[in-house]
Amino acid sequence: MDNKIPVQIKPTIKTKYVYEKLRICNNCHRYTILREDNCTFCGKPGLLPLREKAAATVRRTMRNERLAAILITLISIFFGRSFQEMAIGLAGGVILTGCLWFVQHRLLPRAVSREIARMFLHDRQRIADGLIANLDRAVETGKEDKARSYEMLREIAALVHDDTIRSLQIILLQSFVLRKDMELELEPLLQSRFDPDLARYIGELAKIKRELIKDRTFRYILKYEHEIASLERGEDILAGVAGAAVRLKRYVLSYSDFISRYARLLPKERFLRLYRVIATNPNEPWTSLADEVYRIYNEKYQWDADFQQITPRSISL
Amino acid sequence: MITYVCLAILFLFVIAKSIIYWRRNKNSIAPEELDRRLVLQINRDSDNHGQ
Ligand SMILES: [Zn+2]
Repeated sequence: MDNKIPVQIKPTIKTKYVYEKLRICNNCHRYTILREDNCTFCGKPGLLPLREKAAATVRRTMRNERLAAILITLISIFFGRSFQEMAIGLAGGVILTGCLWFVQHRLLPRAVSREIARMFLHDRQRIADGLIANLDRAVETGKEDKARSYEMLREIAALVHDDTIRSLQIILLQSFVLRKDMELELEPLLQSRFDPDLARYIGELAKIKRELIKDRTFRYILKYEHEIASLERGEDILAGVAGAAVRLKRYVLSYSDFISRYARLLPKERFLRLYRVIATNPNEPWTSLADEVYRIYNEKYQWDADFQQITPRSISL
Repeated sequence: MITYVCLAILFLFVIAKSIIYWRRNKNSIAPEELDRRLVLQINRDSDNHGQ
């Protein structure tokens, strides 16, 4: 893994809802989730967000209904036998068409949501085909531009929750030089199976972005602890994750057994943090972790100046 | 006479449309629900493809 490439990864375009990422081509009516200017299928510009497309459809239907109302009004005027009847026809038609317009106008936003739901069902296969084409394109792009390929997979993965896509993302991420300032993610990449590349990625994040390691990741690591330990430098990964867990007292309490297994491998700065959590909270149920921490402290850090500033309220040895 | 028939038809048309819109409005779909439906649909479909 020495031939890692330096890359620039663009940040994700955040939308409030996932479906807002999906767009439809106004020309060939195919769907895409990729942030591209032109349609993948027909190559033409004119990709519309679903809400815009649905709103256009609803507005067209409503306009047709109003045209029908106007047409009926005109017929009623045309067949009026006297000026009075024609006036009644005109007035009645205007009032009723106005009522229709008022109701339509008030209910437009909800009608648009219904239209979007209808599009999901009606275009089910088309949406699936669009996403498969997106995936093919992302894989194809990976031959020339790995960073762009990763960005594309990340866009697809926002909607398609699939271990194969996550694996592809991890493989790409493992070919990059990861930096702290990159927009990286972890929880969306966790899989239901053991993936050595994912374990190595978690190990790297434990060094550069440990704030991404949260409960779901700890549970993943605990589930596959044996498999990870048998990897080359697997213990370093596990120690890194234990080091990430000591940043919060809540994690130390929840994963105390796991941390106690790797406390000895923690670098001094992480061990100091763990020691501080334990020493300043003597009444918490640390189980065997406290014993292990004080044992390591006595063996390695008893005379260390950094540890002298922390005064344990009660040492339970 | 036809004028009044036309107005009656228009009246019924507007009433019928209003009732349809009003009933749809009552069971409207929140954006969260749209998201849930789409994610479920896509991932069920991709599961079937994977099998
Ligand atoms: Zn197109």
